[in-house]
Amino acid sequence: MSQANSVLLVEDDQADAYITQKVFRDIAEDIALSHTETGESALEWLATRQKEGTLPDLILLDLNMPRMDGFTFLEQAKGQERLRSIPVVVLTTSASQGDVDRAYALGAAGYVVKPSSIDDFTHYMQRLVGYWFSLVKRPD
Amino acid sequence: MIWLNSLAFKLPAFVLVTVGASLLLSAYLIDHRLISYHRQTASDLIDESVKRIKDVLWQAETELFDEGQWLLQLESLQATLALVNNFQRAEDYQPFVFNPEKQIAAEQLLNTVQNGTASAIFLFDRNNELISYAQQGAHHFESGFLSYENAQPKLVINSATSDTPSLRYPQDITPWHPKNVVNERYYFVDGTPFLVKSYRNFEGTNAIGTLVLARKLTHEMLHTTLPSNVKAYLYHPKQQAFMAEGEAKPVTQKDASTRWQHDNDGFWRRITVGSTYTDGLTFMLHYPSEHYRVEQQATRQGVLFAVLITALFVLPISFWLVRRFMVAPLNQLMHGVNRISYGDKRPMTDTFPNNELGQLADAVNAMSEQLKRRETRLKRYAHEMERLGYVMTHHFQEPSRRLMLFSQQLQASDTCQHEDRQAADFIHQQSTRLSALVDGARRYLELSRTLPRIEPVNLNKVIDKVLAEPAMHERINRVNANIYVATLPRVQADASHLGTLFTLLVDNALCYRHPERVPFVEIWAAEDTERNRVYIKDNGVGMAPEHHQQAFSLFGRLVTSDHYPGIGLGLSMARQIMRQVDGDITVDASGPAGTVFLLLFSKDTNHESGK
Repeated sequence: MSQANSVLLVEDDQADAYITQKVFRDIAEDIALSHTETGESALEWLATRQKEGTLPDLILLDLNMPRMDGFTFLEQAKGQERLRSIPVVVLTTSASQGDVDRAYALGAAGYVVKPSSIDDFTHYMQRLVGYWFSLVKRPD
Repeated sequence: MIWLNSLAFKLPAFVLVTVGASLLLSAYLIDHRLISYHRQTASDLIDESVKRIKDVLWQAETELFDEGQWLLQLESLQATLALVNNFQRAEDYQPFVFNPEKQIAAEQLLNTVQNGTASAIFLFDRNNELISYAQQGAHHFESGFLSYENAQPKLVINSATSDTPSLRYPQDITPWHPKNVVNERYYFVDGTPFLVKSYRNFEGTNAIGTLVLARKLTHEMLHTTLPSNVKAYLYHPKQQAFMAEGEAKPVTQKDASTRWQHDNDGFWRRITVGSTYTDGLTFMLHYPSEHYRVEQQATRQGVLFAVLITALFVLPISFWLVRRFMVAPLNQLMHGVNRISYGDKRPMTDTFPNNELGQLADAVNAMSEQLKRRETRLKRYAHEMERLGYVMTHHFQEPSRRLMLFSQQLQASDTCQHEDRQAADFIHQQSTRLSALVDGARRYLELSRTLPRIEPVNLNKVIDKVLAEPAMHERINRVNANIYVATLPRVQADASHLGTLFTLLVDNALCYRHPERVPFVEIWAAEDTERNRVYIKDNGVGMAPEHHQQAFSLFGRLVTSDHYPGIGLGLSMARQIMRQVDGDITVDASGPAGTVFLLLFSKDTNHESGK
């Protein structure tokens, strides 16, 4: 895995952000995990990083967030030429098929329901990181 | 034959039958009234005839009276009578003395007959023996008088001709007594009667003799007297028949007993008109049926023509009125109600008549408006409930899941004391259950929101697919369960939902298996006229009859979670799936030997579908 790999976590809940960051620290020290708490702040953060030329390689997106929810963020991000190529994986508690369908329709690259155990969560993240940073080729 | 029961057919048919029956009844009543009318007409004409006959007789008798008065004033006639009456004994009779006077009297009588005073005149002496007579025959006049030879009476005829006299006198003239003439009604000759007026004397006593004046009552007289439609028959006692111009109508028992008759020939009335010296003349007056039949036929044709004309106008107009003001508004109303029933709640804008149908349309519009308001409220309520469901299933899931995660972290902590670890275990256990309940509620709500895609489904294929699922396969193998599936019918349902249904039911059988039995599940089907019946039998722990309904309630559990896992969702979801396709699931039988669930599938394909 390259040091240059970076992930943006868009998650309003501090507990979920804490768990995710902890798991990432355990399984992928070389991946830079950035965290924003809302959709608006995520778009601002991306705009800044776009100017700097350091956009993340993957975005993990929660759906249920205050003000701008995950769907709106997804819609706006996929509406921007430069951001469109960044794969967005939805990481949410919702197992609703409606949410799944809508997320994919808006351009999500994956949809993961947050598991209820730390072991499962760790396992999921390992597979996710392995998939996106080892198995598949991403756009430049 | 649904159209036979429709108002669009019944109302016009009712009008058709009613109007047609009314017209026919009217025609019948008019026709019936017509017969009464002609009967009354005949009766009136015959009554008029009776009056005219009486008038004729009275006038004729009056004339006879006047003429008799004049005749009796003739001195020679009085002298003759007086002379004859003094010597009217056969043995003393002197023809050369009395015959000239008798001849003179006979000639005077003959002159009287010839000038039309009477048709016949008879002169009797005080003993009521004929002295002289004169009469009008068929082709001549004649007169005669009584003479005696050797005390034998002899009729001396003065003006007899070679023609056959119309009056034939018997040798014995005794029957020529006026009383006999009257009583025996002898005044009929060739069916023609004599009107008879008898004068006993000049002063009203029987001192001299009797003068009998007679005149024929001819058919011509009656014919000119009577109304044209009435014909008179006169009773002829010797022939025992009613006579009219050579036509004889025999007297029947009915004629004798009834004064008024009506038969195929017409209306008949028998009357007896009194005469001064007779018992009366009996007439049979006839109003021939052909007269009133012609008129009746003409009137009947007129009535029928009027009925036809009326029918031609009334029936189409009635039919049009019913169609225009009843059937058409009803159809509009029905169309509007159908439209409303299919969800289009717009008010009916058709123009309805200002009557009960219009009021009904207004009521339907008001009902539609109410339905629309209620639907709006229900939609809002449903939306709120949906939102609440989403909040419950999503927002509640997050904290429960996090509780699980952090309790796991506490459990894994090396610094955690025994009691703290036990508390963490409880937190993890309860959060796990809370998470399962919230997830169950989510699944239940999602199923509620999804309309089934109804299509013919092969149940065997659905169950095979369910049993072939790796997870299901693993669960079955874990408990060594045996599952037998018979040949099942095709049913109208959502294949995906049925997959969920059988997954839930097989899981239910495996979950509540008897600890001392090898789990066995059997699925078979039966069919009746209305429904397909599918049975799922297990040999699990079973349930008491009083718990059968509770088993289907949402999150209803009959056992504690310590002994059996689960949250009480499976059977309630199974019932919801079945009821979405107008079916149902019930406990057919349950006991210590296990449970038999019964699935009822409707054969009606007219479900509300999400297709």
